[in-house]
Amino acid sequence: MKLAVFLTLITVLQASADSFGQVITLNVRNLPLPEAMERIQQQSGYLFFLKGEALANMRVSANIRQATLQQAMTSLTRDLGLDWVIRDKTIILRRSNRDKEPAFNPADPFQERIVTGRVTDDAGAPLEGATVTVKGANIATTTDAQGNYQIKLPDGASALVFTIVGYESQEQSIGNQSAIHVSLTASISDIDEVVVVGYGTMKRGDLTGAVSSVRESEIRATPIVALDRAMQGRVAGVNVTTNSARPGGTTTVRIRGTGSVNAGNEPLYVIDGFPTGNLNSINVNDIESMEVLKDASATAIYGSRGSNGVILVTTRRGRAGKSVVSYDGYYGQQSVRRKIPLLNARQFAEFVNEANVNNGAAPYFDGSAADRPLPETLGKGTDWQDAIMRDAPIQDHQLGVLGGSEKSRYAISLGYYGQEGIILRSDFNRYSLRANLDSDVSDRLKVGLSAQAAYTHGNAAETESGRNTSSDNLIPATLNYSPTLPIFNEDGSYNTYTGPLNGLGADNPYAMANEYTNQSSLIRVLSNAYAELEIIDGLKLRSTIGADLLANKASSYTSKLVLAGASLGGRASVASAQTINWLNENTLTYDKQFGDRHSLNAMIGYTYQQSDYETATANANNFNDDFALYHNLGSGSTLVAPSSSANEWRLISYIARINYGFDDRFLFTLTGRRDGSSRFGPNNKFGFFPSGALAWKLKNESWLRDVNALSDAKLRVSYGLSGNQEISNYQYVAGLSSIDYVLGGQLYIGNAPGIIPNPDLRWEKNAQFDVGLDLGFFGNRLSFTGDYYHKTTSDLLFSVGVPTSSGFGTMLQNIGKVENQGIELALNADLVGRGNFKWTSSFNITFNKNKVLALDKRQEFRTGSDAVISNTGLNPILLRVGEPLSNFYGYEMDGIFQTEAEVAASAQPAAKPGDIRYVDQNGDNVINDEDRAIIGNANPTSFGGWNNTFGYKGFDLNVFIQGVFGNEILNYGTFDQLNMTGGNNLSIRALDRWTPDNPSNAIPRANASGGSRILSSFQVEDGSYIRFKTITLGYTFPTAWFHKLSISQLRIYVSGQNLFTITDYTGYDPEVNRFGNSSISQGIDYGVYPSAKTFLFGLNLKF
Amino acid sequence: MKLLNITRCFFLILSTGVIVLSGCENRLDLAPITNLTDATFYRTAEDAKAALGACYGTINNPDVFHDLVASDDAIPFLTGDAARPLVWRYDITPETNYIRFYSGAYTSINRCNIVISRLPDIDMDDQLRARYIAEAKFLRALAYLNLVRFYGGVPIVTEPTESAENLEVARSSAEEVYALIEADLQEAELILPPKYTGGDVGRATSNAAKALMARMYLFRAGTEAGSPFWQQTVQKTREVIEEGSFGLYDTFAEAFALTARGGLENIFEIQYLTDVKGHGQGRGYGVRGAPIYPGGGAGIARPTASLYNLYTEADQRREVTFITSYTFNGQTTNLSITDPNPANAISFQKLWDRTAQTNGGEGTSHPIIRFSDMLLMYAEAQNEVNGGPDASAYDALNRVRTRAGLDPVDGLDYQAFKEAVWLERRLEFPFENIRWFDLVRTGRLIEAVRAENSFNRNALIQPFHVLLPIPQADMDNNPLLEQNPGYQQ
Repeated sequence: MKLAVFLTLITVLQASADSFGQVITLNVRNLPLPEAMERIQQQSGYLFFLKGEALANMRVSANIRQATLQQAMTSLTRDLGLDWVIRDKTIILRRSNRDKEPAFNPADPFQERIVTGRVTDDAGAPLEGATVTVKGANIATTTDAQGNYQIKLPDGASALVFTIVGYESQEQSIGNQSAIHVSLTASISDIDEVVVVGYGTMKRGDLTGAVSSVRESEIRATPIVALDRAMQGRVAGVNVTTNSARPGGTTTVRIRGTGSVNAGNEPLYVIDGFPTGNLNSINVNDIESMEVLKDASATAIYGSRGSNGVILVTTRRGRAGKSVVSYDGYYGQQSVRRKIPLLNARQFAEFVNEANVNNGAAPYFDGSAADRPLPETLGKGTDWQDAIMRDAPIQDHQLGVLGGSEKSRYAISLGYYGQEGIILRSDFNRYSLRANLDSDVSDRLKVGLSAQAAYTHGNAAETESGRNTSSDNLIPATLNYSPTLPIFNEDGSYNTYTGPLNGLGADNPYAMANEYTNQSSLIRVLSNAYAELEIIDGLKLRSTIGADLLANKASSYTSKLVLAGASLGGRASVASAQTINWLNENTLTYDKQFGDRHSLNAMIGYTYQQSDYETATANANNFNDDFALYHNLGSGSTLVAPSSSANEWRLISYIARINYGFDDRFLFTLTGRRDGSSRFGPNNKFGFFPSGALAWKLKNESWLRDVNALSDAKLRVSYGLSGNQEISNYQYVAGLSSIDYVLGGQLYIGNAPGIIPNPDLRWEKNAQFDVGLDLGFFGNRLSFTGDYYHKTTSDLLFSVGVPTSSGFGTMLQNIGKVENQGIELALNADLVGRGNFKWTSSFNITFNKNKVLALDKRQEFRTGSDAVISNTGLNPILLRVGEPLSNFYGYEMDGIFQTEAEVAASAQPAAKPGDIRYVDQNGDNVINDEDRAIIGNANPTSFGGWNNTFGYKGFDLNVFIQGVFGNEILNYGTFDQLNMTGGNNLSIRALDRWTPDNPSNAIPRANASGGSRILSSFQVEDGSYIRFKTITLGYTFPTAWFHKLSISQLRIYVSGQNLFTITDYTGYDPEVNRFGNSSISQGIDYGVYPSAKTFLFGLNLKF
Repeated sequence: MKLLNITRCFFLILSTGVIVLSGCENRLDLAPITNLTDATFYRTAEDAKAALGACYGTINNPDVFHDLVASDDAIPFLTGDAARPLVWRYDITPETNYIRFYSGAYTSINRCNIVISRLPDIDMDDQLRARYIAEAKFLRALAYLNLVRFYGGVPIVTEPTESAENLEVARSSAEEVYALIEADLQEAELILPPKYTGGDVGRATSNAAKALMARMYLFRAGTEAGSPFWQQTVQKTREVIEEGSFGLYDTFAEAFALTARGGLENIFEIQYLTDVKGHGQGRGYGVRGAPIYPGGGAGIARPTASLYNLYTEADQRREVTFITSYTFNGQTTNLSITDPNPANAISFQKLWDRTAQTNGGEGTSHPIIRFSDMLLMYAEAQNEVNGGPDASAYDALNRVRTRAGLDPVDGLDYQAFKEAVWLERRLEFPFENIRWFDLVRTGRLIEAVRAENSFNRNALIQPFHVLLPIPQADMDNNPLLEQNPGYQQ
């Protein structure tokens, strides 16, 4: 088993005596070699060094009396097939196989050349006890508490090798240097790694729940704006979808499927202990690790907010030791990943003529007027996508310093992230400042602070707008506007056209890109201070108090040069909002080992969180001039009524957890949280969320201890309850809505209840069972984690349909049940770790199945009315018991009518050959609402990622592939781009339309009077994709080159994002979720900002 | 020593914090900051006014879309939402969108029920209380009248909804619904004043109650020659006409101007305020994409040629009802009744408020019952009662005709007079939610819909289409409901 040999065992013992007794006596029988050597060391004063597990496991027998060291060693090693030498007061044992050793002269062992240096981790903290070996010569030393070492070099020594348990070994060439500093990176799959869990930390090996980590290196591997993206493809069970590629856009994150219908489905984010949101204003570069809590055992400690999973974010903190200054930055260029291929001017003109003729009218492009030339005289025309898109820079810079003394430590960073969008006048910028301070006031008392201030601002292009029409959403306008039209008129003004080629009422896209201003900014301070007192050994009281303060401002102006602004004489709006969210947490933790076999960690706590929100909006229309934008509402001659509102919520919680370990074989965790929320009815304000888990460290059983190939084995089982409170405030009480009315020519405000009150409103309950297996092989060079989970969400916070004769359509009740079950597999492998070439690989995949078990009284109903796009009143989503959530519901397309006879025999007597044929599901010979069926589903059946890192000498290459499989996308864009009317531009696929000569069965005929927005499988597409998300090539310079500049690390890299995507999807990007904020209307694409591919160059520098 | 101090200090801070924070679970009892709750409301006369105000804020007036396209007055925008042409083509199922009268009516009814049930416990002036309750009953009757005419017998709900209990109510017969409407309107007629002044103008009056009763009787008379409802229609319309508070403006245009708000002609109306609270019906049904409307015209539906061509040159109502050309930035666009492009279509403009500068901010009043309806109802019913037109019937009809710029008619027999009134109603009331009900009550719906076949309508209309289907969501949520005939699966 060659891999087993990778486990390099290095044993170095310190010299223990000043004077050497050169006379050795050793009488042993079948003693391990290291122990025998230890006795020799005690007598001789020489250190010894042996390399490799095989040597360490050798056993020796000897009967040596009053011998010299020389005689004793020869006698001892002779039968073992070993050689020995003395080098630098160290006895080195090795196999008698000199052929493999590079030449060095044993006759001349003492060279006076000395190299010194310092070994640190990648954050700059000193590493004590690291082994420094001269390559090829068995000379070694270890680092002291400050990470410093000193080593004498033999002649011909070419390189030093640095190793320490838990870190990747590193080789540095020596050259002429007298000082060599290195920083080592933590190695993957170390069971001793400490992970953050709710209200505490744990060794990974002691976890009983399903917790995945995203490491700093993974977070940094890809240029991302916010931390939620870092989980994509890297954490089993977590599906991350970017809703739109808009700078500053948001994502949809689903951990182990969708559990809730009307309440929120996004996980809870806890940043340095503060449960909060708004991720775009958190600087990703400050993050040291993210832990994803998935099963109930892990999340129950977050009680009413745990059911969608919890993501714990830890930012970097200072460490004692020399200060480390670091700079990390990149600069790159983004360009559109894919343009949607559309008809050019000539193709479009030909199409319009055909559509008119098919409708019994004359060709439109007949050469009769300047704007109606014959098609053959037209060329490509205007490419409106090119007109509004650009190549745009993206950059990120981070300057950090961390360090401190034994007593107080600090980490301070400054960050800037700037992204211009690939659409004109869209951008996002973030400036951030972070200071994390820790101080040991005394041996027993620690205090500290995590504080971040951030300012973000950006301008949004008019994509994903509320009404989704071609006149207010730039993307449909761009795709729909006729290529035969110019950008500008001859007088330089924007061309605006409202004729028959613009049936969807699009505005000039270039004007829309330039004349809408939509600025938003956020000032945020997130700070959390703690004090931790060790009352007696093992008993710690920790108290935190913190606040998350947000001030938003959103300002927009629509100039008079675009349709939407022209008819209003310019439209300005200013809105501001502030959120004050504060938190106090107090925990008491007792951690103690009883005897050899019992370990206990118990925690109780009390927390209080409160959030107050206020907002105000003012609008004005009709400006003499566009000059002032939204900065002078008073100059608008039409003032629109202002508005304001406010709300607040509070949460009071009591928490408790016991971890008990027996004999390092069995681990038990019991967790409970009692949460009280202001959102629920007086009858059910409080909820209790317990969980229990058991882990069995199989590896520590005697019957597995000797299976060398298996280095770790643990079985986990957990069950527990968590909750969901993500509904609007005040839903249990019959708040009165304001209803304005006019009488006598005056405006008055009336009041009526807005909802049916529900004093019984309570938590949504999530019961989850999880069984998991963690395995490690060959010293954890290969590790595997597999989990099966079964989640049942019941008491759904559900907008239950009620008879509308009550005066209300819905009422929030706790009704219904949804189930998710699935399997998560994660595999990490250190495939090649020897020599100059290295390859590590990690792979994960998740299979999830979602099913509605119960609804309100109904077995099924249509919903999704929040996903309305231009001129549709569709309810595209079907909820049906026994089926998964997010089903698309509509007609099933059954090809295209080819002949009159087919039409006559069908349920669509008004159709013509070339029209879409729909399946008559109930066979009643009429196509109507009753013939709709499930035509797709937005949930993927599986998703995963594969990450590969290759290293060769100083080079590193990272290839990260991510994919989603088995989901469908409802491409509403097809309503426009394949409506076949000629009233707007069409997809290039329209060239394959049905004609008598081209009996297509996929694309219908051109027909100027068609275009009805009938939802059918024609709009549904496969959303599966595999994407090469990131490819990065880096080079780390040998520190030798820079040692005079005291640079400890310098790495440069080039990286490409989204370079290749394998998909059949015809829209901008298969990773899309137009209505991502809606729990119900998932997987829909319309008018979404196109995605970019990015090339960038980066630099990591450490002093 | 120092350590001890620090430790003490820490404990002090911590314990203070815990004391402040614990024992405060009542802090979870949060009520809305921005809105009142019913626990603290319904106490004062002001509360009573606001509760009744909510009823005025949701006066049940169906969207004109159905009246326009389900009759023979208009064609919907065809290359958009597939659900709209379905109404026009009579491809209607219980799930068809754009027929949302049912829930809208009950929203209004529930708010009226709150006023009716809560006001007796409020300490306030008795007369004012009685008036407010009578106004609520008028508004409730208005909602039930729309329901019963659209759906037939519907669930009768007269108590406010305050919990999840007893929400499932079975349908009553149409007779029972009419009985409730009649009782409500009779109470309103007795208690309410004939007219208001100042800030109360626009509230329900005794005249409005009588007018609504007339509308109900006329609908119930249907096609039955000897129905007693004809006489009741005559009586109620005559009372309103003779009472004298309401009348006709000199010109048809004045009846739809901003100045018509609370004026002479609208016996009952929904009031709006320009750019403060608007209805947007001018833009909504305006020329598609035309920049003359704030936000651009939406072109939801365009008039049929069969309607447009009915108007004679002399008829002043044509230019008030339809927009035939517009000028923007000095460029004039002439519209056409036949051009298939909706951007060039002659469109409705009856309620268009040209002074609005915000999208949808149109402040013209939306008439519910106009005085001319009194005259034409009177003429029609009087013709039925007497088996032919008498002088008063001619007078009523001719008042409407001459105001529109047409010559008076004379010398018609019973049938010709009846048809003359029907024609006059079609010319007078487009866009006012009257045409479809007129076609239904006079038994001409199927014939009229089939006759209007432009734009390849090919309507699938059947006799059962005189009633709308109960919406599927209600069928699902209320097992006691039975679907109207023809719509069952």
